[in-house]
Amino acid sequence: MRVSGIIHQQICQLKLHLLACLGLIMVLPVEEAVVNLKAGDGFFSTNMTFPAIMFGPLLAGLIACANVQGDLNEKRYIFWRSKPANVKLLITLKFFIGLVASLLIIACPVVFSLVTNTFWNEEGIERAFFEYYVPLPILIAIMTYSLCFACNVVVRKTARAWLIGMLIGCFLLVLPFILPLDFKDFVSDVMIWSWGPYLAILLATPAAAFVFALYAAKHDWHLKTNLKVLLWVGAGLAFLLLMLFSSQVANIKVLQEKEIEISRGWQTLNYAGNRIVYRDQSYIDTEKNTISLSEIKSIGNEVEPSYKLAPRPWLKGYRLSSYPRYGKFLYKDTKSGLFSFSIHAYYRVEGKGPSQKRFYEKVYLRSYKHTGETWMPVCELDISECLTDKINPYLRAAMRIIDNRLVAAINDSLIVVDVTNPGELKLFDKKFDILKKYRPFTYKDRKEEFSIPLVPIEGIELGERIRLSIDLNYNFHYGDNNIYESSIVDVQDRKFSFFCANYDGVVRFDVIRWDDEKIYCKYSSSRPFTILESMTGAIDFNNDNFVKNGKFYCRNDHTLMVFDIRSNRRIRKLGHFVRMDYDIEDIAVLEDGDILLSVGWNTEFLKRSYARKYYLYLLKNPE
Amino acid sequence: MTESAITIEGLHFSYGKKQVLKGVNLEVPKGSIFGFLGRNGTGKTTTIKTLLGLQKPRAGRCIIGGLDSFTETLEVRRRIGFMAEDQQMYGWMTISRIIKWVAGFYPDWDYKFADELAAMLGLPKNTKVKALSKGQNSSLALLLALGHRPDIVILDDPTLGLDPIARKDFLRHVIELLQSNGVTVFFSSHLLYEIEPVADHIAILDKGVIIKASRTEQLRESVRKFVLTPKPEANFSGFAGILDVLKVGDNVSITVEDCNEEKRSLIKGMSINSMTEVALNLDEIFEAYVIGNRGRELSV
Repeated sequence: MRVSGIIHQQICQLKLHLLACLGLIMVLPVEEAVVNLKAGDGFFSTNMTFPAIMFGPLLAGLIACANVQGDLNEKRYIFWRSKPANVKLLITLKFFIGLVASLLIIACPVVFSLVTNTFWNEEGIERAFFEYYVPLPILIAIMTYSLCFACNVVVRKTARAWLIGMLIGCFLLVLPFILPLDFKDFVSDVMIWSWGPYLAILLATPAAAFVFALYAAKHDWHLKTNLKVLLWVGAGLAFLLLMLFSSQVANIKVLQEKEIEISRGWQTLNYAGNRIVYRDQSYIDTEKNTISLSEIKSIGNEVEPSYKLAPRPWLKGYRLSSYPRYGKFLYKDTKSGLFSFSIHAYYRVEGKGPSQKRFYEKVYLRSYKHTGETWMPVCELDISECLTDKINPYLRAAMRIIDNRLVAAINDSLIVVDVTNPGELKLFDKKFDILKKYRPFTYKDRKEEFSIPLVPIEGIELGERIRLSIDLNYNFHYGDNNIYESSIVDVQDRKFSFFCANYDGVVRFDVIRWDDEKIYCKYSSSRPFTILESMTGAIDFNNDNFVKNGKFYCRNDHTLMVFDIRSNRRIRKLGHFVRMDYDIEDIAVLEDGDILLSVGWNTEFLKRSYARKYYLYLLKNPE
Repeated sequence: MTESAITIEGLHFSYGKKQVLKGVNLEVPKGSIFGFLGRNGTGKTTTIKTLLGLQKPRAGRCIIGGLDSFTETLEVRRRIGFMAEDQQMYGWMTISRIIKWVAGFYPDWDYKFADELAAMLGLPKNTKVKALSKGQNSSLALLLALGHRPDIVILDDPTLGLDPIARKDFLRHVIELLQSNGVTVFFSSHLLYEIEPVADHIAILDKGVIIKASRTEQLRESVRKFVLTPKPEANFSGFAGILDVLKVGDNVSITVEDCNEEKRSLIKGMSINSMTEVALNLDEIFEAYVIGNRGRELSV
C-alpha cells in the first residue's frame, strides 16, 4: 500500500474543511488585530487568542468527522474496502493526518499572536500566558477529535457522529465531578496534581478511542442511528447528569429557613438532654416543621459568652482559657435543674511577639446551675495537677459525660469526675501523661492494621472506654476535641466501627479486637469524594464530623454531607447541602431525625465590618 | 472434473435475527462467465460481500482461487477485481489521480494496461470523477477493477442505473475484454436478458438458497413448457420436476425441469389430443423457478 498516495488523498480530501476551520478560528484574533491597528496600536492580537483556541475542541471534532466521512459513505466504503487495503494502516494514517491538521489549526491563533506581537506590539506579550493556558484546550481538542473520529467510523453520519462524540466528551469531562472514582491515590502516586483524574481522562480517552476506531473499522462495525432515539438518549443522559449533579450540591430538603434578629455572637446549638439550646439562651422546638424559640432564662440584652456571667472565673494577674469554647456548652439536665460544666485554665504570659510564652498554672472544673435568671457557679474542682507540662502555647481539652461520670482530658492528662450531683463534683479517677501516645489516624491509614491506646480509667463501661479512646484519638493531638456531644464511633451488635473524613473522602475503620491496653483497627471501606464534592466544600478532618443513628454527618463551613453507614460493605451518600455564601456555624440532629443548622451570612460592608445575618435551617434528614 | 475458481460451501449469514443466506453452495468453474441470478433482496450482494471477506459468515466458507476469503482476505482481494453495484468513488479526484490512488493498493498494477483500458473505454483522464456520466462512472469502476489484471472478476449488478443502450454497450466492452483474457467472471444481476447472451453458467438464488445452478445452454435445453388438454383421469400430483402449472380454460400449461423423453411421453399420455412443446428463454425459466407454483394449485 502506497502511504504517500494516501497522505496526498487525505490532505486533498480535508483541505476545504481545514480552510473553513482556519477561517473560523482566526476570526477573533484577526478582528482584534484590525481593531488595534485602527486604534493606532499596531496589528497584533492578545486578548482574543485564548477565546479563539477554546473553539479548538469543537473544530477538532468537525475535522475528525470530515476526515473519514468521505470514505465511509456506504457505496464508497465498499469501493475502497474491496481493494487490498490494510485497514489498520489506512485508518491510522487518516487519524494522525487529521489530528496533526487539527493541532496546526488550533496553533494558528497562538502563532499569529506571537508573531504579530513580536513585530508590531511594542510591549510584547507574556509568553508564560500561552505556556499556562494553551495546553488545556489542546488536550481537550485531542480528546474530542479522537472521540468524533471513533464515532464517525461507527455511526458514519457526520453531524450525528460529531454530536455523539461531543456528548461523550462532555460526559467524560463531567464524570470525575459526579462519580466517586477511587483513582486519586493512583494518580497521586505518579503526579502531585489534584486534577490528575482529568489528565488521566484526557490522555486515556484518545488512546482508547483510537484503538476502538481501528477495531471498528477492521470489523466493519456500523451503528445505524435513529435521530429520535439519539435525541431521547441524549436527553436521558443529560437528565441523569443533572440528577447526579444536583444530588451532589443540594438535595437535602429545607423544611424551614428562619432569619434570626440578632447582631453578633456564636450561633451554637447545644444538646440538653433531648432538647436543643440555641446560643445558650433559647430552647428550639420544631413541631410541624416550624422552628420556634423559647427563652430558657432572662438574661436581658447580654450576648457575651456566658463564662463572663459566672461571678468567679477571673483571677487577678492571669488570663483565662476556657473549654468548651466558641459559645459551646456541656449541659446536664437533671431533676433538680439544668447544669453546665466548664474547664477554666489560667495562664501568665511572658515575653512579646514570637518569643511570647504561656505558663498555665491553674485549672478548674466548674459546674453551673441555671437559676432562672442566670448561670450560677455551684461547684469547683481544682484539677491543676493535670498540668504536667506547664509551658504550653495552648491548652487542649476535651469533655464527655458518660452516665454520671464526666471524663475530662487536659493536655495529656485524664480525669473522671462523679457528676451524679453536679452541685457536688467528686474526683473519681485521674491519670497523668497518658495521652502522649495518642496520634491521629487518617484517610491514608488504609493499608495496615493499626492500634489505638485504650484509655486506662476506672468507672467507665468498656464499650464507652473504647468509644472514648477512638474519639480522643481522632484529633485531640491538634487541639480541643468536641467530644462532649458527638462521636465518630458507630456500634452495632457490639461491633465497633468509626469514620473519618478529609479532603479525599470518608473512610470506615473496624475495630477487630482489643486487649487491656490497645484497640486494634483495620480499614474496612471508603467513599472517595468526587471533584464536585471537593469543590463545593472540601471536608477537612479538623471539622466536626460525627456519627448518629447509623449516619455519618460531615461538614465544613459551607457544606453538609450525610452518609448511610448501616451497611458493612458500602458507605452510601444520602444527601448534600451547600450554601457557598453562608457559614455553617453549628449543627444538631434532632430526636425525630431532622437536622438543625445555624448559619451566618455577611451581607454588606458597613462601618469597617460586614453586616451579618443569621439563619436557622431545619432540614429533612435524607434517607 | 472442471477446476473451480470460486467455491462457496454451506454459507449462512444473518443481519441480526434476519437470516439472509441459508446454506449457499456454489462452484464457479475457472474461465467461465457465471451469471448469479436472483430477485432484489434475495442475498446476491450479501453473498458477494461475504465472498470478498467484507463480512463474516455465521457458517460456511468461501474459497477464491484456492484462498479462504476470510482468513486470507488481503491476498484474495489482490487477486480479484471487484466492481460493486452503483459504485461511488471520490468525486474530487481526476481519473488519473484515482487510478494512481487505487494502483497504490496493488503491487502488480499494470499502468500500461490501465491506460489502454482508459482509451478503449473512452475515459478522459483529466476529468474529475464527479463530472463523469453514469456510463463513464461504470467504465471507470471497471477499469479500476481490472487494472491489475486479475484472474477472477466479480461484478455486482454492474449496469445498475444505466440506460438500456449504455448497458448493452458496457456489457459488450466487458465481455470483449474479459473473454479475450480468459478471466473468470462472476456476474450478479436481476436483469436476465442482460445475462442470457453472455453467461455460460448460471445460478439462481432464491430466499437465501441456490435453487438451480447449471450451464446456461443445458438449462435452456432441460426446462420445457407443455400446453395440453388433460384427460379427465390425468393425475399430475406425483409427477416429478414440475416447476409451474397454469390452467387456461380447458388447457393446461406445465413447465417441467430436467425434461427428457420419458417425461415427454408421460405428459403426452395424459393429454386428450396432441400437445405443444415450447422452449423457454432465461427470463421464463427464472420465473418458473422463482415464482412457479410447483403444481400445488393444480386441480385437473
